[in-house]
Amino acid sequence: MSASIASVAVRVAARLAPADVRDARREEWLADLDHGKELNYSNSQIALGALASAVSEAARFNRTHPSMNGAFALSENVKFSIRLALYTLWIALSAAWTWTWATQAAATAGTGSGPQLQIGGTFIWAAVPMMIVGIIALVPGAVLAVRSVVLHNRAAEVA
Amino acid sequence: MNPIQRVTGSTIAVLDALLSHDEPVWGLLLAREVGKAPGGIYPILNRLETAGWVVPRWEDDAEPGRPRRRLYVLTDIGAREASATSAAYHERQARSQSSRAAEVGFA
Repeated sequence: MSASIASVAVRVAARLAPADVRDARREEWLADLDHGKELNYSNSQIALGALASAVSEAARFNRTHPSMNGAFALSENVKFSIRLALYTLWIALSAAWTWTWATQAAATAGTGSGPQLQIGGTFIWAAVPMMIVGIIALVPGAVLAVRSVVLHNRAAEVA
Repeated sequence: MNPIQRVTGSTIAVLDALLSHDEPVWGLLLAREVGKAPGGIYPILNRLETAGWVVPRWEDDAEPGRPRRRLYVLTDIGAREASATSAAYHERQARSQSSRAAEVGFA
């Protein structure tokens, strides 16, 4: 994974982290990307680690934070799921668009291969693990949203 | 300070690595020392930070134009809890290993 794609993935991961730690996480993960080679860590290892960490941290925040109950929790969880889905969709569309552009460029040039196809292929391979993480990450968001509805209904019954 | 919710072998390895450093240590270096990928170390450090066992610090002497690395150090209470938790874990492991060895010997 190239440094620029990894940097985008890390920024996306930071956006998914709880608001109060978002800036710190972004700086930490960007620094890890910058210095990771010194310890033989690849960009993709750090980017995927950041994405996994952001999702688990957001899920834990939702489980443990006192304010995450009832209607507020529901709206926060729905927003989190929508944000995650939009990022995943954006990555998928970007990958598809790059691949189409590369294929057309190769056809116009009359060759079955070329630098464009290489770029498109690299993008597709970088996007696939990010999309998988994104899709898996939708599950805790959906579970938390359902939990919030249940808690909200229970609170309404008590009231 | 809160108790940590899950104490796994990886958590113990991170605690042991933190205990072996007197100075604040870079998170990714901890990952390398315990043989974990970054995805395995970040959630553990987050849990320890939430529990108040470690405090993060930004490195003071970052090169200009490069992002600052985040360093982690055990708090006083965290160091005490880490030592106790690690000792209890290793004792449990040793006990279960010796009982397993005894079972094999018996069989």
